Parts: sequence; C-alpha cells; structure tokens
Amino acid sequence: MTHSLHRVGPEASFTEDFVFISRPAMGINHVGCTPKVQRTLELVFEEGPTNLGSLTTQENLTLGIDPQALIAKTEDNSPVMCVFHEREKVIHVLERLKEEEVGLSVVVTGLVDQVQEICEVVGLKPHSAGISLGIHGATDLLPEEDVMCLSTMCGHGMIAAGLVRQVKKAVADGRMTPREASTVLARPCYCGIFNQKRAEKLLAQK
Amino acid sequence: MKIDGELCMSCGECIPYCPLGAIEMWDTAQINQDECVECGICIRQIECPGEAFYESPETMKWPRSVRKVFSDPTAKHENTGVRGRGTEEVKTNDVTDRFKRGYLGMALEFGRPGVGTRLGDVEVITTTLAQAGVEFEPNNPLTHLMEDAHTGSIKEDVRNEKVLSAIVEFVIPESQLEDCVGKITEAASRARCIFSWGIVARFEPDGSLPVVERLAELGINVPRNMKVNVGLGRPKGEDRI
Repeated sequence: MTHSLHRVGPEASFTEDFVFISRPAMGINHVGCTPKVQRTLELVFEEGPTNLGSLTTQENLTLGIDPQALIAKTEDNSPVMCVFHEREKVIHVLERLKEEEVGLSVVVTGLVDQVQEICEVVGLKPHSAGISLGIHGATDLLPEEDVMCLSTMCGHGMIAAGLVRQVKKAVADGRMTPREASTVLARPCYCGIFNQKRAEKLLAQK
Repeated sequence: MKIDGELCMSCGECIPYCPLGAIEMWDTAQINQDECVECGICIRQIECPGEAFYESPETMKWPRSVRKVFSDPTAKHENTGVRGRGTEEVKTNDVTDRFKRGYLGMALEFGRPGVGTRLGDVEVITTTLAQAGVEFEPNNPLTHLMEDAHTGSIKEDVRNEKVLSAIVEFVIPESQLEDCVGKITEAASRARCIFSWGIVARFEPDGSLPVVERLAELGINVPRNMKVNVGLGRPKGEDRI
C-alpha cells in the first residue's frame, strides 16, 4: 500500500526520516484488535510524531487531527501510519509496544543500518525487509529528480509534481519560507508519512 | 472528475494540484477525461472559489470505475473484491509468513511515481512473467483484472483505462532471482510505462541480507533506505503454521 519504500533522494536526506506503519494481518489477528490499534496510536501521540494520517477520516497532522476523535473512530482494520524525524522517539514507541506485548506488526522505513541499530537498542530481531530496486521502464516520462525527492514522500502519490514546482519557485523567489512550502505539500497526503522536516531541509537547499 | 464550466472562474489555482497534470485551461479550466485517473485530490484539496469540481455518475460505471479504485486511496475495490492497491506485503510478514526463508517477494508498482499507467501497458511484464511460470498473487486487485492469470493478459474492456498505480505481485524461490531479474530487465526495455520495483526478503539469523550482494552482482546497487518489519507481530507466522 504505502510507498515509503521508493522515496527518492540522496542517502543523507534519510538520516532523519523514519516512516512507522503498524497494522494487523487481515484474516489472522485483526478480529477484535481495535484496542491494540488504539493503544499504538496513544503511544505514538504521546511521543509526538512529525506527521500522522488517516485515510478513514481524511486528515493529517498538518490539516489538524484530534487524537481522541481519531482513536475513537479506530476499527479492526485501521492501520497506524506516521513518520518521525527523531530516532529516539521511534525507540521509545517500539520499547513500549514490546513491553506491553501489543502484538500488531510494525514496519519502520529508514536507512537500514539505522533501523537495525534501533532494533538492537530495543532488543528486537528484524524479521524481513522491503528493498527498492529503483524505477524502471520509460523513465524519460519521470519528473525531475529534485521534484521526486518531495513528491514521493506521500505514500499514495497525491502530491503533484506541478505543486512541488510551484512551491519551489515560491521559495526561490522569496515569496514562501521552506516551512510554509512544506506545509502546502503536506496537506494532500492523508497517509501522513510526508516528513515536513525533511521537506523543509530539501526546500532550503539552493 | 469534472469541472462545471458555468461555475469555474478561470482563476487557474487548481492546475498545479493534479498529480497527473490533467487539468487544462481553455476558456475555463477543464479536466482531460482521458488522462484523469479519478484520484479525487482536486475535489478534496482545492479550495475552488466557484465550487466547480464534481464527480459525475460515469466515474463509478464500468470500466471507468477501475480508475478510481486504483487511484483514490480513500476508495475501496468494489469491482475487484479486494481492498487497497496491493496486499500487506512486508508489513505483516512476521505474522503471515507469506515470504518464507528461501523465497523472495516481488512487487512491481506501475505508474509510480507521478506518471500513471494504462492497465494494458502492464502486459509487457505480466505476459513475460506468465511465460516464465510465475503465479501472480491471487489477493492482488490487478490479478482480478487479468483475462487469464496463466497468460498475464489484461481484460480487453479495461486495457485503456488509466490509473495512478497498479501493482504486480508474486513470489519466487531465491534460486530464480537472477533469471527473474534478467527477464524483467529485458521486458522493461520495451515498456511504454514506468514501474517502481521492490523485493521482500527475510533477514538471516545473523541480521544479514544476502540478496543485496546477489543484486549487486547483477549490477543493481540497492538504496540503503529499506522497509523493515521489526518482528513485533503476534502470533508469529512460524509458530502459527
């Protein structure tokens, strides 16, 4: 589902980018798991994610989310989708999930060395990995790489290349700050894994 | 999605928001219906001063309805019977054990990033893979749009439908990696569309991922940004089965 695996950009831009997704396995452990999803959301909100989204309510942190309202609308098949830019927060959430034996699956997308180190600190043994083999086929159709660095941060491709070009120009012309521009780009991403902090840094680069 | 020309104020504010650039400015703004994938971002996100955007009844009529379900993340797959554009893939592999040791999961997401694809264009890969004996994931919605999963051919009535994303998923024994990569790479050179390619592999007990070295020997140096299932899911797939 979410496209966190194929985020485009220089390796250094991922050092503060940890996409966190938790969900039950449909047909195996999803029945009656609403309290587990709710607890995961509570722990994530306690730490304070950089962004978090919901396809059910069509919201993200940029648009404004009431944590209690979102938790109340949680169902057995609701995923938790968010992003952190601080490694320590990921560690804290994973530690609590492990300690409380919540039991939902969790994937963390980030630089694999960093994620493995996080797992070591928490005492987890990574199970499996999604590995990107890049973009293939008629690649001449693709937008510019600096545009894709920002547009690929939405897990469902909802951030248009045209919008990225528009805000990049506004930043270059001094009509918008990188923070304001990253907020504009974060709005269409309901999966909530658009990392505004990473976007701000990318937009601040000349 | 459509724009009511009577209500449109021709301000052009909406144009940058379309992920596929399908909004065009004539006397008023219009949506190129052949290029629109019905993702719905325009009607959800754009603060149109004339409130001119609307979803016409044709959006949910077959075969155009596949555009929405393969492009709008808020939509469900009522036509295919499967929710989402793909499966849970690596996300729940610690519980499902779908990708076991000795096997590799493959996911080719057509149309991403930011280009879209005609459903018929995925055949360049699916027919090649089918000839090689690949069995496509039955729970993937694209498999439901195949005329025959043994040939990889796409149903005639949906071939020209454009979508934001369509994912081809399957599992291979590890021993077939080199052969499979060779076939996909060759077919990709003939493709009229793009695809983002991903593999799912199990970590070895020592924490290594031998597939990375094997891919490097094939000339594919994978990025270090990976999607890691940290193993918190219960019951564990290996214990359950």
